[in-house]
Amino acid sequence: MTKTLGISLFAGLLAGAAVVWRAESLSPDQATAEFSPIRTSPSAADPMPEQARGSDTRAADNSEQSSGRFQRRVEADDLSLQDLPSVLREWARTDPAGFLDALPTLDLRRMQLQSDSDAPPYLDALRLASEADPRYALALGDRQAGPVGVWIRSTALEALAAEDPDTALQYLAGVEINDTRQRLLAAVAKGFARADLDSAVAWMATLGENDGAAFYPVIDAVAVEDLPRSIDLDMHAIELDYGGLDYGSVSWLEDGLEADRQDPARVADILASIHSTGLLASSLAWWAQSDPYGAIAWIQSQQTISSLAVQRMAERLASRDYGSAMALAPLFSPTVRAVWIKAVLVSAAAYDVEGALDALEPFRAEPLYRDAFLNILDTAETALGPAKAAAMAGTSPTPRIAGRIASDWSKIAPRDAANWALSIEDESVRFAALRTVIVIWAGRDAGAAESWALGISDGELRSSMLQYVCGRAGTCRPKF
Amino acid sequence: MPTEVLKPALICMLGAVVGAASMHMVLHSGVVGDSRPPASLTDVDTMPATDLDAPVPSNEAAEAGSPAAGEIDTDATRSESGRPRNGVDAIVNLASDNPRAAMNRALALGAYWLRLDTVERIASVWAAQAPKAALDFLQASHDLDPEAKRKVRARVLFAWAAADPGLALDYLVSRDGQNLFFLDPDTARKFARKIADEQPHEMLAASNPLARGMVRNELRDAAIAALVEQDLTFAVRQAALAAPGNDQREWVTSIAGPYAQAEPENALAWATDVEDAVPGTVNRVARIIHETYPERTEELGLCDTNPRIDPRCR
Repeated sequence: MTKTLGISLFAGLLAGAAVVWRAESLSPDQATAEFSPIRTSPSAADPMPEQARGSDTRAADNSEQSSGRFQRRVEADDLSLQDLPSVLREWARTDPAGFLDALPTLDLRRMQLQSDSDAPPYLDALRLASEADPRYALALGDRQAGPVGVWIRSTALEALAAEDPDTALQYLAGVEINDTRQRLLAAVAKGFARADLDSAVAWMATLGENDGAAFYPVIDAVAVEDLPRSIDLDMHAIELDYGGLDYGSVSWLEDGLEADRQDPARVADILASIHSTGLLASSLAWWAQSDPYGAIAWIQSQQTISSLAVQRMAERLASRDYGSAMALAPLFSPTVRAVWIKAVLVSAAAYDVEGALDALEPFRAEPLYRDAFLNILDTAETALGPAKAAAMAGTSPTPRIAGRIASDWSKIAPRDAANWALSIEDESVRFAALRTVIVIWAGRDAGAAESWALGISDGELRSSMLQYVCGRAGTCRPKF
Repeated sequence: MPTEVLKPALICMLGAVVGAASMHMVLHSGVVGDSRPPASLTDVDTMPATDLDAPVPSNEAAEAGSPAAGEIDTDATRSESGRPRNGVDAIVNLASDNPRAAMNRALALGAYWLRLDTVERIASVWAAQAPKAALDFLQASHDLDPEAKRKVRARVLFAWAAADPGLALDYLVSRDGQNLFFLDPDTARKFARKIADEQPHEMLAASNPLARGMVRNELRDAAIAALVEQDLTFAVRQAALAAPGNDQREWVTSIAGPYAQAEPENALAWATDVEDAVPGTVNRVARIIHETYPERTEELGLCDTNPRIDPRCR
């Protein structure tokens, strides 16, 4: 009996070990061979090996049942778009391989059309499923054409890079250089930075001219840990001419500041020392949000400060409460104060035009008045209506305001608009505004526009405007 | 069944389990290469489900399904179809009793998106019990990057707005709530809209004492949009009572579209009345009526408001 039991135990040990060995002994070569882009992509005749799916036959049957159930829920007419992502996530969580298999068959176009976001509503679910088995997802993505294929490949590569950066980079090396590769590269960078930040930074330093997309995912990850270091990396990116590209924005800076591990004064000192005007402005705007007096004290401690930094900070505070922001103006030197007041009130005009104009009134005798007034008017033209804006602008509007008023007013009251445009003092501004009015007016009522233009006393101006009338109406006499 | 047959069978099964566990440990000890398959959602199936005071398992233990974590009843982790159910459900289930402990366990998960998904699920549960505590926990946590924090915060806020819009509104007008509009404007806007759908009058009232600025505007926009949708007659009356300037413009601009679509004749008459206060309203209303009821262009006199509104006007 003891012998029988011993044999049973030994047999059991062997069987259990064999099952685990089968599931886990896939060599790196075997694993990478499943998704190399150089290799022929898997097809229906070349099904995915079971171990790549991480499931046995029975599980596959269950997966089919579960997938069918989820697919019916996803495609049910009564499922709202709001609930769709959570159902997809549940599916991806419960049966990642089944979700991945079914994804290309779902009505993705409908989902995308109904979504109010650039990201597809299945993205979170796809990330979950890809992370569960990146190799399988990548192989599937390689077979799938169009945007969904790119989404699958990018989420799979991000997940793969997070667990095995070398393999992800090896895959990337075989991808043709184009826009898709940039997206895949960004995904690899994101995953790599998550796996091993220092190695990702070292890798970033080796990248070449076609690899700009990798910079900002890494810089973003560094910023959360060590903002000064990310500033250095950003400078490096700018040197390589990647700073202004769409690959990144200053969101990394705000993320770094938000991570709550940074001293904003230290960050501002660094940015000022390297004369990074844009980043300094962004960092001060962010700082002012949480600690306005700290940020203002820092500005006061500087010998010089860029007007952009002052302006951004003022705008940020004014958008919360412009009255409080205005109360801070006396804390600054006269030059900074003028920039501050103008920025606060122009920003305030977006929320309270009349209030902003009232708040500007005490500064009528100061040089800042006219510039601030015209900027407020520019912001407020739509709200006030062109007639009121024209009355406020008088005879010396800026070219931009004159153009907006002329365009808007000529559609409602062209004769009034034309009379106002004719009264503008600056010759070139007058000509441009009048031309705008006449062209729009002639398009609606050429006879009335011509009749008005004939009354212009300046012969040269009259001739030009009549030419615009006939040109717009198609009645000009041919010139021989 | 005779004991002589049962015993070897049971021992064989036990051997299989032990053998499997041993091989698993051997493979993951690095003795036989580093070839484990990628992390999957079933890796954490064996996370303890009830021992709240147990130390948070390390990522490696959680991902490897270490023997120490095998205390859970494995039957409970299997679905009816026999497939291993999502193991993280066990962590999520803790949330109703002890969300903080559940959150700490979720944050210890190694796989990034699984961790984030689990944290979001726990956040939803926590939000139904104590949303402010959930937000404070998130704010203080260094285990989530800012992007992930925004995502989870959105989940808490939306759950809060659905469960208790009154308290959610109180939070929104607090200093922390107002900060949301500057730190994460997109989420703040959606949060406000959700609350406004339930409590538009309260939101409008709550916006009044706020300083004129972005937050007040956003709250008013959300409240007015909801009121126009829910009670157009009330909205039209409010527009007439609103203070001239930005407040009145806000009402008129929000009302114009829905009013033009619902009651074209009345909307045109109303637009004429408010044209002086809000220039361009007649044109806007006429355009929307024309888009909605092109066949009524002449009958409603739309050509008189704008001759270019339709080619037939010329």
